[in-house]
Amino acid sequence: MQNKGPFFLKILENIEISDKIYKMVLEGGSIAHNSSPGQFVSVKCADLTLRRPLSIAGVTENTFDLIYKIKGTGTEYLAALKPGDTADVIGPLGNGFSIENKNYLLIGCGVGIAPIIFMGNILEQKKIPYKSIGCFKSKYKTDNEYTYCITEDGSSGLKGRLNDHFEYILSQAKPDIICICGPNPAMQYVTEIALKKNIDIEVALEGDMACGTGVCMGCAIKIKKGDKLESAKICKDGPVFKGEEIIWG
Amino acid sequence: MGMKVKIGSLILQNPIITASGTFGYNTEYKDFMDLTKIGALITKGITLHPRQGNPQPRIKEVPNGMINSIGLENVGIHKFVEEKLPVLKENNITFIVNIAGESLEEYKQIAKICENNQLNAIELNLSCPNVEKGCLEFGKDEETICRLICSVREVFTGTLIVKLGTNVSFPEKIAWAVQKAGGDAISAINTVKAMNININSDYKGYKFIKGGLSGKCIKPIALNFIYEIRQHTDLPIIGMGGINNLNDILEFIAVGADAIQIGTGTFTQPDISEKLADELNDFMETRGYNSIKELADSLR
Ligand SMILES: Cc1cc2nc3c(=O)[nH]c(=O)nc-3n(C[C@H](O)[C@H](O)[C@H](O)COP(=O)(O)OP(=O)(O)OC[C@H]3O[C@@H](n4cnc5c(N)ncnc54)[C@H](O)[C@@H]3O)c2cc1C
Ligand SMILES: Cc1cc2nc3c(=O)[nH]c(=O)nc-3n(C[C@H](O)[C@H](O)[C@H](O)COP(=O)(O)O)c2cc1C
Ligand code: FES
Repeated sequence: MQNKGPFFLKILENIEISDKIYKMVLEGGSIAHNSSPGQFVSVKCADLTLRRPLSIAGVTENTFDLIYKIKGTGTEYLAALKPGDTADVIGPLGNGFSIENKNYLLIGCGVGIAPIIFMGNILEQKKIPYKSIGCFKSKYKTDNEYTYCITEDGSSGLKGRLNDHFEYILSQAKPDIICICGPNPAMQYVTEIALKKNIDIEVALEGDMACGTGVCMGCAIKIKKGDKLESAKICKDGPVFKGEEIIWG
Repeated sequence: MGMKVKIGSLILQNPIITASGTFGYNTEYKDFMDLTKIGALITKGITLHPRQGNPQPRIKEVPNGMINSIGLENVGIHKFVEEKLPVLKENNITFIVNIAGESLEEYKQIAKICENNQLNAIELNLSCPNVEKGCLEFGKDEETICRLICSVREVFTGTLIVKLGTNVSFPEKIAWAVQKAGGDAISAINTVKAMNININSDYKGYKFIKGGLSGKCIKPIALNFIYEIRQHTDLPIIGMGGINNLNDILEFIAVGADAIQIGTGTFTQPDISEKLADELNDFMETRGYNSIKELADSLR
């Protein structure tokens, strides 16, 4: 048994790092110690019925980070919180990326960068070789460095979108395994290329969630296991799945 | 006596029960709370054969609640007995199996399997709005309910709870029918049929989700339903619908509930059932109530 909350955690920092994109740092040793990249927390937002799932974007000894985009009521509430306020958080939830001694290529698009930053930190610590791609509309004001930064407006790194540069980067990086989090079309595009080239691929999916703990079946999708279809819960069996398991809708 | 309540032959240490479909099959919430603190756990609705459930989207949050269209995705009674039941027993959890059938015969078959495995209590789901066949149609009129309960009774000797929804014309007749046919208790309410509309941003067409509404917004509907059926039956009533705090529990007891269930509240606060069991206990001790009955008599 592991205590997964609810924890009432102190917010240490909550800053806007790009247009409508925020980084929040929370005090929370238990989550910091027990989480691995790709796992998420779920945050209670004022009186809303459902918690909001957010990926863990990095940890230190006693703190962890979230990177989130304002989408609606829940994230608006989070953005208005101040250092010193508390947040009601459960986690870590779900299963993260596999960590093996292989050559990694990490790809994060938009706020999908959150688990990718965390993954980069862990690979760094474990001295596992990796390269990373960050794809954004426009530059983020954080101190993260990517091997390849791609921005739509050209404000940092390469100008354009992931598919303008991906095949070139792939030929340079020569990974054994790719981990990606971002919008479905980007993940589908990368998965198809990876599978064709026999590169292992893991994707972090999103989906609307009610419980976030595997009991309600609200997030259940069909995945491919060999030639069989199986039901899988994004919140509990995922959010990270093998690329070949996904049926892109 | 304290917080103990008796439902049929089942004795619960307190009146706080986790509702079907919101608490899994057994120990899914063990990392969030102490499972031994609740009165009972009700399993996800279980059918004779495994069910795939409905396509996505299955969930939509609405003001003060949510709509779900899960479509009873579950492992089926055989896998439940093989894999989920041993864990319930190992962990000494008082539990009730929620069952749903597509036909009268299916309800009976599942109940028979429960009897053969010495399960103490079942809750007949006669009110799921999210499946095409079965469930709701059995809960609609008193004659069908009577026939269903009688045939389940032929094969099941344990505590028989009948779960009703609000999509019926005469709740009081149905409540009376449950009692007459040999049910031990009524639980209510299931989710309320509802729909959410999302108009496309170009104002051409819309997306929708149809399903069952639950959470805070259905509490007034639930309270009224229980108030009405209480006048027509002496059976224990297990009330639910939007319970989130101690005061909600007192309101349900006031209108006639003997025990309560917490559903959507667990999604908001995973340890809510443990917290409310403690709060109710403290409240009763401070106020000097020696039993739930004393508390109910005072409230009513
Ligand atoms: C496992 C997981 C990890 C996530 N990690 C992050 C993260 O690190 N950073 C981040 O910014 N976001 C993340 N998300 C998405 C985030 O949960 C939603 O953006 C958030 O719940 C929106 O809440 P809201 O109240 O602000 O918006 P709402 O008012 O609820 O919704 C606004 C819009 O966002 C859409 N939306 C709501 N929930 C989701 C969802 N779960 N996925 C996709 N679209 C949704 C709605 O359909 C609506 O169009 C993650 C989602 C999942 C499932
Ligand atoms: C996601 C979800 C799944 C549910 N599944 C079932 C089910 O399988 N069987 C059943 O009898 N009721 C089911 N219910 C109904 C609940 O048990 C409860 O009756 C209803 O949600 C009202 O209570 P609440 O407002 O506290 O959630 C489900 C509810 C939700 C939200
Ligand atoms: S959100 Fe409930 S099972 Fe995944």
